[in-house]
Amino acid sequence: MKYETVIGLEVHAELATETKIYCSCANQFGGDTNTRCCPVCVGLPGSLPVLNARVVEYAILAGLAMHCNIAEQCKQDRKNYFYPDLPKAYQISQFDIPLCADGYVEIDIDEATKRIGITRIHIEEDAGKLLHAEGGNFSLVDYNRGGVPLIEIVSEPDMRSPEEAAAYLETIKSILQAIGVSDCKMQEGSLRCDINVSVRPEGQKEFGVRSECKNVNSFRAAVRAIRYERDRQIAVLEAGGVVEQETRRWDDAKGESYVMRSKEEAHDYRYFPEPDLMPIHVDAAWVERLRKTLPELPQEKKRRYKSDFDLPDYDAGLLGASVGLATIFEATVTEGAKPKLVSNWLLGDISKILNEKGIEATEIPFDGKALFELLAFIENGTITGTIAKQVLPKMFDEGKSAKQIVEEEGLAQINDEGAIASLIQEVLAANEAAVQDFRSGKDRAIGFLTGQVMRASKGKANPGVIQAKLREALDAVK
Amino acid sequence: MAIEIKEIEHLADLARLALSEKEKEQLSREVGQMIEFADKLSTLDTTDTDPTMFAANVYNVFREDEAMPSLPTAAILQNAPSADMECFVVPKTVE
Repeated sequence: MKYETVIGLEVHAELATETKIYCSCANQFGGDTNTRCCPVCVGLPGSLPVLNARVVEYAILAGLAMHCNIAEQCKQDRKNYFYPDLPKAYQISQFDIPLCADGYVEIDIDEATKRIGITRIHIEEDAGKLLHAEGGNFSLVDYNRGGVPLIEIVSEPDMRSPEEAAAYLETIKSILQAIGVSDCKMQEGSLRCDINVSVRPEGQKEFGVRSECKNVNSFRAAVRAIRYERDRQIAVLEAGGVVEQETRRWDDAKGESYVMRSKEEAHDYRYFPEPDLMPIHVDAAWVERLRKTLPELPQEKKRRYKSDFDLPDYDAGLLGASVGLATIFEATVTEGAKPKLVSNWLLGDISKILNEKGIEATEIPFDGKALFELLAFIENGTITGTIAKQVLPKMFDEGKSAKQIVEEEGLAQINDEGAIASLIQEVLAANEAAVQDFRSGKDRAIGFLTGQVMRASKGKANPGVIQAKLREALDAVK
Repeated sequence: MAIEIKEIEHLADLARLALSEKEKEQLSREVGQMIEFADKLSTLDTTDTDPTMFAANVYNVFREDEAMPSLPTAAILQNAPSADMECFVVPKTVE
């Protein structure tokens, strides 16, 4: 039988505020354990939470960017459960009245646009972090993360494949980065998701029974966890079994998920309104003031890059989705570089370096002027493309300009025909076999000899001059 | 209107309370009375009443997003039943 996969996602994004959601401790990542805590963070009796205004504004901005309705009035609620990373034994969240609801985002899939509904976006606090000592019979708790502001973005079950889920996650990330409310650093856990998956025979209207999968810490893991869960449920059904509604935990190292025993008891969080926090009223004027501050969103950027710079759909989509890449792209083009050339470098060598270093495009240590300088050097023949690929990593590592690097390391392109001709003579003398090959009609030898001359010049010789001079030299010995 | 012992046991379990049989019976009666008391509210006609989220008419109590110093780690850990390596120590908890 053919099955259809139905996927809904809950994304938790840490907000990039200065301070935590209910106290004035700094909201940062890393550092020594339990150094950003106060009585509110560790739930000491008598301590009272006070809501950070910026958390409300950031959540509203996210809601507006995702076409949500903003609640005129909402409140915060206590979600009660025992776990050592939660010192109060309740998490302050929002239950029946979220700040934002009924929105959507548009994802690009198979060269078409699909709308994914956003059920709700609510604000809540993050929990602390449990550290497990190897072999010990105890756990350690660091409450630095406790009270870090989160928004939880809940989608409708509108996705039908792991690929759509991945596109949705990329879209959410690009929107949150564009509006500046979250840095979305996956490696720091500032974006996490829970996955709801069910399968149903193709054509069936009712949803199948779904399972929830937690502890998914990267987009790649999300796709793997969805595939795993889809295949697991189909196998259960094919074997004549029934899918149980259960909470599972994804183990990315093993590539499988297992039932979380602690969650077997039906979710019974006994939510009730948080008596220590007053309701939130958002009037139309506040919403409009925030709406005016919304920057251009990724989908709008993509459309503009296609129409204004004539970029292909693929380039425009990737650049538009990344605040960091879009910023440096536009700055470099403004300096006078050719848009497609800039795009090629950003999506090629620069993205490769970002991946290797595990850093975000917003962390590129140079600006559009600096990138333009590098590209202009290639265009005007100061350096070769090969050399540019060597200069680029140095711009990342040494914080120097292309000009400085080229001057200090003597990387300028060699255009002097005499100098190149003598390099060619050396290469020909050292590679008699290849010269013989050329004489006996093997044109491929030219490519080899060109490479040798380039290597002898340490990548600096002008490739056009090599071509011309090499031909001359070979014709002379023919 | 007593509520079922089974329900009391479930709530006690969620709240990590160990109740004696006698306490369970007592609570089943008393919690029942509380619910009955609160249920009176649902007999009121609230058709023309705006929903209220909070007893006091106070809203939008916010704090500016400005960082203040946190407490020293030693002070944070002062009341911990057990502490080590600048952390709270708890029984091994792994999902």
